[in-house]
Amino acid sequence: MDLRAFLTDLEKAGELIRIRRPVDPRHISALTAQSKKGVYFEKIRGYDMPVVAGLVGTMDRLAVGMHAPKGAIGRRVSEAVQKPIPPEVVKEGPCQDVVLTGTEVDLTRLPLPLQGEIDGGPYISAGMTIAKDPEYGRNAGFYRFMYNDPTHLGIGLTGPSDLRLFYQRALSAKRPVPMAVAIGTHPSDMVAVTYKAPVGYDELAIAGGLWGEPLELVRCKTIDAEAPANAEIVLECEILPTGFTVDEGRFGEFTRFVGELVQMPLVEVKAITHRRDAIFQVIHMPWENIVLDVPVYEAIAWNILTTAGIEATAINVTTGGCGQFHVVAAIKKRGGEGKNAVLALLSAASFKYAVVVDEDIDIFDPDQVEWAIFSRVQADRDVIIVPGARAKPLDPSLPPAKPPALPLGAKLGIDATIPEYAYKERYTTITYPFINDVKLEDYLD
Amino acid sequence: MPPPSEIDRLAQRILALARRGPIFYYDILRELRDEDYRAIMLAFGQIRQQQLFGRDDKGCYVLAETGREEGAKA
Repeated sequence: MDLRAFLTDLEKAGELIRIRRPVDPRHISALTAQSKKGVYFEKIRGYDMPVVAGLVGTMDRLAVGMHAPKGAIGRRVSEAVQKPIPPEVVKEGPCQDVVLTGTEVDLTRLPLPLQGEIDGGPYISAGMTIAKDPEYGRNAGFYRFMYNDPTHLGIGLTGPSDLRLFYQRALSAKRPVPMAVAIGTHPSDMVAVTYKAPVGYDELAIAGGLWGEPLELVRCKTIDAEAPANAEIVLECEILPTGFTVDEGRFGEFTRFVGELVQMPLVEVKAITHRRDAIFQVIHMPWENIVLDVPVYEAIAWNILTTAGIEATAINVTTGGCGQFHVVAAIKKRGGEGKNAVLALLSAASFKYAVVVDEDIDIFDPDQVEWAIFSRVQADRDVIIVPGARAKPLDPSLPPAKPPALPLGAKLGIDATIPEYAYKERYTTITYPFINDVKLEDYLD
Repeated sequence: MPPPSEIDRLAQRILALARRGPIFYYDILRELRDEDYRAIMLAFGQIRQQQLFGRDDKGCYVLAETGREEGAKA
C-alpha cells in the first residue's frame, strides 16, 4: 500500500478534492483548513511538484485508507502488534527514480508550506523516519522537521523516544545518527511507526502486520539506513553530533496550541531521492496528527485491558481529547471490573481521563456516554482521582515544572457501568410497540 | 533557481524588516508577498546559515549581534 493507493481510495469515496488552478505555496495551509475533504493541489506556483494535504483529517478518511470501520482500526493495530511481519529489503523502488546528491541537494526544491502564523518557518510534517543504532538496530517514528537552510533541518526531538535515545548514545560517541525521512506514505505506515514500541522492536513490522505482507524497503544511497520503497520522496540524512543547539519551533501542536521555542539537534541532508512524478505530502496540523494518534492509543488501551484480564468490546480514544488524553471503553463487566478497567487505563502515561461503560453503550455516540454517566454514576462512589501522576508536558493546564523534571498531573476516571447492587428493573428502557411491524416510508407519498 | 544576486537582495530586505522589530516567518511572507516563495526560503536559509538571526521569547526572529551590523549595511 502506498500514498497513491490511498488517494485512489479517497477519490472513490468522494473524500478528495482536486484544485487544478495554480496555488501560491503561501496559501496551502489556509485552503486545506477551509476544506472538508482531503486536498490535491495539482499546480503549486514556482514548483513542478504537486502537494496533497489534509488527507487523514477525519476518522472517516482514515477508515477509508485502512479499509476498516473507524471503530475497528485500533483493535487491528493491536492485533498487528501481536503478529508483526518484518519488512523486506528489495533491490530497487520508485522512491529512487531520481537521486540528487552533492550540490544538487536543496530542500527548497520541495514545496514546504508555512502551516501556522506563529510557526518558526516552513515544516516537513509528514516525515516518517527510519534511523539506525549500532546496538539496537532499526527504529521508525514520526517527527517534524523545520527548514533551516537548503541542506539542514531542525528535528522536533522533544519528549522521551527511541530516536532521542539513539541520538544521546551517538552524541556521547561523537558520531551522527543515519536516518531516512520518507515523505508521502500510506496512512497505515504512519500509524504503525507512531506506535510506542519498546526499543529494539521494529515498528515497520507492525506496518507489515496490518496488511499481512512485509513492507518493502530499499537501501539508501548515501547512508546506512533503509527507506520505504514506495515512498514519494526520501531525504537521506544524518542527525549531527552537535547537541541540542539549534532553535526549533514554534509549531502548532496536536494539542491545538502552539508549542514553545526549543533547542534541538541539527539534521544534515546528504541526498534527496524521489519518484519521477513525486507528490509532496503535508500533514495538516492539528487534525491529521490527532487522527493518526487515535488508533495507536486505542491499541495501547486494548493491550492494557487484555493484560488486565478484562474483556473490552469497544474502545474510543476521542479526537476532542487530541487522540491521546481521553479514552472511553465499553466492557463485558464482571463484578468490580468497572473500577479495575478505570485503574488499568489510567496507568498509561497518556491517558488523563478514562470512562468505562457497559457493552450496551455506543461509545462513539457522546450522547450515550453522557447518558451512562448520568444514569450509572454516583460521584462519591464511581469517580477516581489520582494525583501526582506522570503527565504529558504539552498539557497547558499543568502547573509549571522545571526541566529536566517531568511534569506531574492528576488523572480522572469514571466507572459508568451499572452498579453491582442495582435493581435491574430501574434500568428498563423505553421500547415502542409494533416497532418491527410497520415502516414509516410505506406511509409517505 | 533564482540567481545568487536575487537571494542576496531578498536577504537584505528580510534583515531590514527585522531591524524594524521582531518578526515571525509569516511576517516575512506577508511583507514580501510579491516575491518568489522559493527565493524567500533561500534568502532565509542564507541568513540562518550566517547566524544573523536570533530568537526572542515569543519565537520571533531578531537580529543577532552580527546581524545588526549586516542589517545596517543594507
